[in-house]
Amino acid sequence: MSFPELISAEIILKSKSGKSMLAPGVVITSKNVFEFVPKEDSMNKISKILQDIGFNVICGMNSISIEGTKTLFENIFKTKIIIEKKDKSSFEMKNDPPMSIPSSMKNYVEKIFFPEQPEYF
Amino acid sequence: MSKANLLPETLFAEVSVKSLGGISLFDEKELVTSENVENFFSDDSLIDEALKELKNKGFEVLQVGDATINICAPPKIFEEIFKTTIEPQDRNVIKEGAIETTSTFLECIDTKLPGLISTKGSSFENLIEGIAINDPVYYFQSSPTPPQKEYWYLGVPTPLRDALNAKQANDDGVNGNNVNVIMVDSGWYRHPFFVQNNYNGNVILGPSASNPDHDESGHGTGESANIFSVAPKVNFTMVKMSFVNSVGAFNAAAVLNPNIISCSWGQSREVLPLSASQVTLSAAISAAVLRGIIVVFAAGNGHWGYPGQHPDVISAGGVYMERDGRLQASDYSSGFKSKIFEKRIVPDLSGLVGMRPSAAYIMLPVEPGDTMDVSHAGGTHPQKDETLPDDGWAAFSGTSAAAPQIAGVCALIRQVCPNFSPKLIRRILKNTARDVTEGNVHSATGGNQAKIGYDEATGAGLVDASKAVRIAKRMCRG
Repeated sequence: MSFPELISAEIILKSKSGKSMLAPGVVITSKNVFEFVPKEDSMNKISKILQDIGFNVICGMNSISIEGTKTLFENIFKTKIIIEKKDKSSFEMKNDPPMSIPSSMKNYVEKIFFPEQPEYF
Repeated sequence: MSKANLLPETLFAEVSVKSLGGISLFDEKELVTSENVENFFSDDSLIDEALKELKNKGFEVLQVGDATINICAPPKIFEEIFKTTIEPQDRNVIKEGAIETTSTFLECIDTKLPGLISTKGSSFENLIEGIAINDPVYYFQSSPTPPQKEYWYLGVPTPLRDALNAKQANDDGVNGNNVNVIMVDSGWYRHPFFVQNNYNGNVILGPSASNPDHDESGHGTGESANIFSVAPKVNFTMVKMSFVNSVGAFNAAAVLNPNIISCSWGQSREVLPLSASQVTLSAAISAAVLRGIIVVFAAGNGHWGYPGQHPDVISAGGVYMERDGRLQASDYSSGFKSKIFEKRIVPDLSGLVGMRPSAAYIMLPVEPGDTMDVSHAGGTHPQKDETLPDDGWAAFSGTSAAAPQIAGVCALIRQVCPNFSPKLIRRILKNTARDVTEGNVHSATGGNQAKIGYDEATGAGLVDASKAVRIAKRMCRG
């Protein structure tokens, strides 16, 4: 298996309520997930910006999954990414410095990160 | 035996629609590399026309790739449509371990390039530049039926179906028909087992995933057989996960708005805090469940499984069935009271899972030579599964197997009661499960003991497919 041509990250949008999904002690269930819904239109606005830049996007309710080349990530989010092969079928991504949110998105985006890798059960 | 009788029932092939660059993919002078492959891509309108015509002529379209279309049909259809004769030919080959032997290749008698079917003189002449018959390894190296072993294990589909008590429901026509089930996992290889049993599926690539025709791990391919054993007629989709972004892969499944999402993976998380990706995945799961999607997650194999302990999922644990039918909690599976979510007992209920050390318990189809095939092969049971490293079969389980088994039963209920909510279906599954009162779960999650009634070992016990369907039907009728 070769290294992936496209890598992927997750973007959490700021909520309409002002509450943060990432605040200490927050656990999200179907009972409170609506409290973290992003500001109206911010999902469309940010996904359009990201698509115009060249990312593929998948919109969830509270976050956007983006996919693009390593170079695109490095240029847009001002970081350096190292992709390491973990085993025959998976990879691990490290970046330094932390990804910086571009000014055009700062009002809407709470955080961008590479998700941790799960394991098969 | 005549040569025609030696042909497989179904022939798989790759169709190359006329290339943009004007040179055929099968031109012997042209070697295809990453530098020139785009020349062999085809115009979208030609591809659409080819797809339509192929389907009209009786071919099944399995996959549309960048440069070719994967199709299958009985050899007779190929011969009639392309006005040719296909014959088996034995050739010398070198197989695993440098063994010199022969293998049967399928050849077209009127073309020079091995395995090529010409379209000349057929109605496809101006649309398709050639058809490549797939490598015979597909048919002859990986058997559609599992190898037989002396040790106790469950085969697919019948022994597993019967052990989960799905036969009666299936016999009554409750088989998952028209229910959309998505599994988010390592990929789906179209194993001869699926072809022989008429199990249909397709693959969608999650973020950063590639090679939709292959499953380099084998995990997803194998686990999907658990769903089909219970619900053979589901509309199955695999979202191939690269493991670079599991949240994105889950969201890729959720946007398709299926009835059920089955996930056999996670992380171990005993206490707060959750990581950013766990929080984001929680939100994605909760949003999906609110939209009526049933989400099943494996509880873990000695893990404090997350999201297997999330309150919105159906959490799948493990029960081991002996040869004589006795049940006990699987000591390979997790069972615990969540320290993150108040009053959350994990699992909700259980599927069938093997015992330690390796849970080599269900003989599952995998892509020949993939990680699962190789890593479980050889040795002696229970450490290993005693199969070959390239035979396309491996014995494994874990709560990874329990999740799709339970997802399959959810599909049966959804078929008879399409409007039931995820919470109601979970309640039906728990109320109809077979109580398990013996054995302990994995020591890493406390080694909880199975007891009479609901417990922190197997939850409500082993899922009972036909009973769950029967009760659901009764509730549907009001």
